[in-house]
Amino acid sequence: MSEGERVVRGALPFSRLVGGFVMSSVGAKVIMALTGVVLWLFLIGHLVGNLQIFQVPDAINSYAVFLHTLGHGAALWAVRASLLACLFAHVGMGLRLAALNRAARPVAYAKTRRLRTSPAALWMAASGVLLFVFLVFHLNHFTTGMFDPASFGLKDAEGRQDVYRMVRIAFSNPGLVVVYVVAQLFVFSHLLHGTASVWQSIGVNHPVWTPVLSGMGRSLALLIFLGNIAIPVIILIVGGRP
Amino acid sequence: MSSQKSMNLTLQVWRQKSKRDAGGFTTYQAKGISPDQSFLEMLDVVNEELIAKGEDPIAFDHDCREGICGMCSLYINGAPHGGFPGTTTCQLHMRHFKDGDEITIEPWRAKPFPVLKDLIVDRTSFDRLVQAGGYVSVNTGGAPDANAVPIPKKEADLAMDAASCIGCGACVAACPNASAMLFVSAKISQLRHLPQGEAERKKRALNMLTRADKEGFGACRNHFECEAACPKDIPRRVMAEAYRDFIEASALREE
Repeated sequence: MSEGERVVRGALPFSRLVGGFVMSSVGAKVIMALTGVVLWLFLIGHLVGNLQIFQVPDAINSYAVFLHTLGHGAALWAVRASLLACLFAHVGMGLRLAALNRAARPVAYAKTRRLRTSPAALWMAASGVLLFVFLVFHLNHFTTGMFDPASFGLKDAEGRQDVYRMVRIAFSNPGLVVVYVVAQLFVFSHLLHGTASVWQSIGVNHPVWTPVLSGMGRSLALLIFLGNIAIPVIILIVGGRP
Repeated sequence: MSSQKSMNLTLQVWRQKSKRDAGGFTTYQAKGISPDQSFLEMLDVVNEELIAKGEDPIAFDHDCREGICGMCSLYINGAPHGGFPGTTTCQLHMRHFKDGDEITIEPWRAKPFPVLKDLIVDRTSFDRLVQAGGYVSVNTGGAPDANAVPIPKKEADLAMDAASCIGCGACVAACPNASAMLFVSAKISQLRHLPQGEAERKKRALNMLTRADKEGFGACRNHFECEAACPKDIPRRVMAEAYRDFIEASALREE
């Protein structure tokens, strides 16, 4: 048996193979990039679905029923479970790296001049944490209904949950509109750096493609921002309660 | 030769007696500085004066003073080597400053770069990173002919771009996270483009990047401050190459 063959047969156990990668700073970076892309794709789908609020009330109400009954309700939970797994991996890695990075410079500089980075990149951890806080509120607002059970429990003429009226009522409240718009600023800031730097993180750097892909990422981040703030802002302007 | 007159500057210099000393800033006046002098020559003038007064001169690293040895450091006015493109501190000339300027001078700040005295930091963590894989394993014997292994010009250029790293540590000093990624990646890139380095490519990336984590350097978050601060203009490409090798090595590692 050759030396190489001996190595292959006595290969690393799975835990060490995966653990070594997950605990390394480059591995953490790759995991953050990939889970970030999943969450980013979700944001696009989430926005496209939500824009149905600007159609007749039946559109978003039947869309909600469609999501809840797809695959006898299993699809919704499969997607939710995957998204939660990505979210926790992303946040967990982010917090771990933030702690490691803080420890890597125990004595701060008296004076620092940044030459190339952007505020969005420097505020990545902060925008991420604020975004997470907003997410917890948002889920309790429109998914569990704990924030406003009365409008969450509204039914339409066909006996379905009246998502249309629930959203309209929520965004007739200027305070809530401010919360949602400010939260979208954090999302935008977070995406601005994330979508542009994801390629470098997974080892893709090309003189032509990287700037093109980063530019597309930033443009999509802007579109997501504009689309997401359009919902509360337009509803507030045209009048919340139909 | 310069038509400009000499200038007077106020320096805020980090002074620290030893590794254990807390350290702090001390203000010095640099008088009669010529715009043609280098930054280190300006410090020499200040030190001459300190020695004449019987005070302890400011300790700073330097050697070749022509931008190729990687010994000089100094975090000048909030950026490594002063933050001028492609410039080491020894090649930074005083013509970039004006009469009456106040200049803050700090040592590199990173956990794996402990301050030894004043502006001198211990950079032996870089030596340990190179020991972890910044080499090619070859048999000893007669030196092979320089052209025995043909290497395409483009590959040789990519390797040389990375090989221009002088190991000064400006990348670590500039990084908001004190990450050594640009340094480690330059060493990885320099060897991976050459047939001699290809054989150990995956092992090298795995070992060197793992060592960097162990030394206590931070993680890269794609700020690219290192690229801007590098006196040898090492491009961010080398880091993407190192990540690629690391990902491949991690996924397929067998030992």
